[in-house]
Amino acid sequence: MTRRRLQLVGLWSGLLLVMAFTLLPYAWLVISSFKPSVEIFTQTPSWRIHEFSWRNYQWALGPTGADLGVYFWNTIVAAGSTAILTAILASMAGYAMARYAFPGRRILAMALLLSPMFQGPPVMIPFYRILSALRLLNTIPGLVLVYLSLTLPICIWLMAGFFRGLPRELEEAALVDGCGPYGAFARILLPLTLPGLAATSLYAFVVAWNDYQYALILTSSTNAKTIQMGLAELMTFFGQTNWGGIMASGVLTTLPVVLIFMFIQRALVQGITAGALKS
Amino acid sequence: MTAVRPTERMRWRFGAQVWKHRVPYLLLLPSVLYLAGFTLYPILNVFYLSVTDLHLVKSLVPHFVGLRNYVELLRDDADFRGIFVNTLVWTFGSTALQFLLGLGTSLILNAKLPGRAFWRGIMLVPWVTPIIVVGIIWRWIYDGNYGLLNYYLQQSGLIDRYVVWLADGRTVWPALLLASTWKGYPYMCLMLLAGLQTIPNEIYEAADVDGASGVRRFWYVTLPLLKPVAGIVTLVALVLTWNNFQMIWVLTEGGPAYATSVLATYVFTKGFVFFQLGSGSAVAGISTLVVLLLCLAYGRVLRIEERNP
Repeated sequence: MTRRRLQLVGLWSGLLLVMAFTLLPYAWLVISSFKPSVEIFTQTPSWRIHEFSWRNYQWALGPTGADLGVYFWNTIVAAGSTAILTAILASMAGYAMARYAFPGRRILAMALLLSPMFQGPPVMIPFYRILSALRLLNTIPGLVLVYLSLTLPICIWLMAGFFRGLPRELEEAALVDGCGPYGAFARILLPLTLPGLAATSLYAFVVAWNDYQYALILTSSTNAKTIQMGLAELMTFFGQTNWGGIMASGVLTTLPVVLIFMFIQRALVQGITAGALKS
Repeated sequence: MTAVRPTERMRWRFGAQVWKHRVPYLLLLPSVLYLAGFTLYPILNVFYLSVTDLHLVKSLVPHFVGLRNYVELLRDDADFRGIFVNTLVWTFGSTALQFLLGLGTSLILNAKLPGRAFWRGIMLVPWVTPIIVVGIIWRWIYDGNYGLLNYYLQQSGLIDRYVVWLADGRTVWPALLLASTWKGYPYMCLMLLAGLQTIPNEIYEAADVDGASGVRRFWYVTLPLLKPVAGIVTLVALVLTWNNFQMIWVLTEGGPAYATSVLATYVFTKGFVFFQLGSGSAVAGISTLVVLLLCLAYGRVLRIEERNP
């Protein structure tokens, strides 16, 4: 009995420590974003807000301040297009991977699993060259073209997982009823994976929204710069003077992805762990 | 005529194979074409560019220069050695810390606690936070004048004078690793949790009957059964950290000087700060060779898993 109690105390204090480590830096960001400058640049930092203010947020979005609207719009367009294209390609490919045996399947599965390992710096220079050759540097379509390489492999895995969860009898029944294989896919199975498809495309949206490294090399003006680039510029220009504004901008950038993620977490987590751990 | 026949037959058989599997092939075609162009081609292309003199200003058309870029990096570049050592420190340090915290947290979140699903969700927040915002959060905590860390450490008497954590060669690595642990441990924890959930309850019950509990149960039951999953997760994390340019860039940009430069940031510095795309590709080439070796190890682990399920 006492040992059980000791165990519980250990568990709860462990949980408390981990959650404090996870959330306190975050809380500090949010709290600071509501403070006026005098409270931010102070020698004795306080967790209480004395004079609550929206001014930092007005500065982040307003035309006289950081004016982040255009960056947000670029990001919504880029991440939205990435999500839609990913949904189309990944549902087709995921269905093939889940339901068919064909020569080359194992190699493809391996390639999908390994492709995240070659993201970032190894392919930065080639990506720059490809988009330059296609005349797509500093354009949103160019960004989308690159972002698909981030989202597609893992989303194919996710979709394959969702399709595997459906009973095979469904297709058999559809085929008997005279649907072709594509009809069975498009009219019977796809609608049944809609929740999974929604989670997958929202995940793709979050991945594209969060990208910094590719936007850094592939965009150069408000024509295509994403919100992450906008934030990076704020850091460069106002890093010494307006931390409140920077932090409000950071909160605004994070809010959509955290909300989306909380919403899709359950459907996603299972797929992601299954994809990485089992092949 | 007779010499042509076998190839014709082979072609016919190949065609028949494709026709037989036309449904999956057609469904996969767009994705495979895309991945060939935007995943496979870039990886191969970087090796080609690494043996050219490509330069963003001076030489926009690549000319073959043999192994010159590699020789220059390995023989003449005074910073390269340090950067390579940094890469090892960064990769192993960051992965080890993420693993330890991830393992501890997964054990806690695998226990029967009220609100377990909620805590798991909260835990994942740093993982989805945009990397720039991670940079904002930690730069402000580490700030040399107004930072929380300085304030609390001085209050508790651990330091006399404020430290500029990210600009001091002695403190920049611990600061970087702490921030990276914060950002990366949830992913590790998630994977290990999935691994823990595959351990059947009966085994724990059997261990209870045998009188094993607490530390001994963890050491003799949980850890051995978690080992395969832990191995895979660690390998993946090693590679992802090896290529992680963003975390370092948003906090230090590889500085002060080259103190926190790793291969991943050096590719960017060479290619897009100094415009030496050829030389930058050579850095990427060296880096990718190491990743390929790690991937071979990964493939091997997976194959062993398949044999003993």
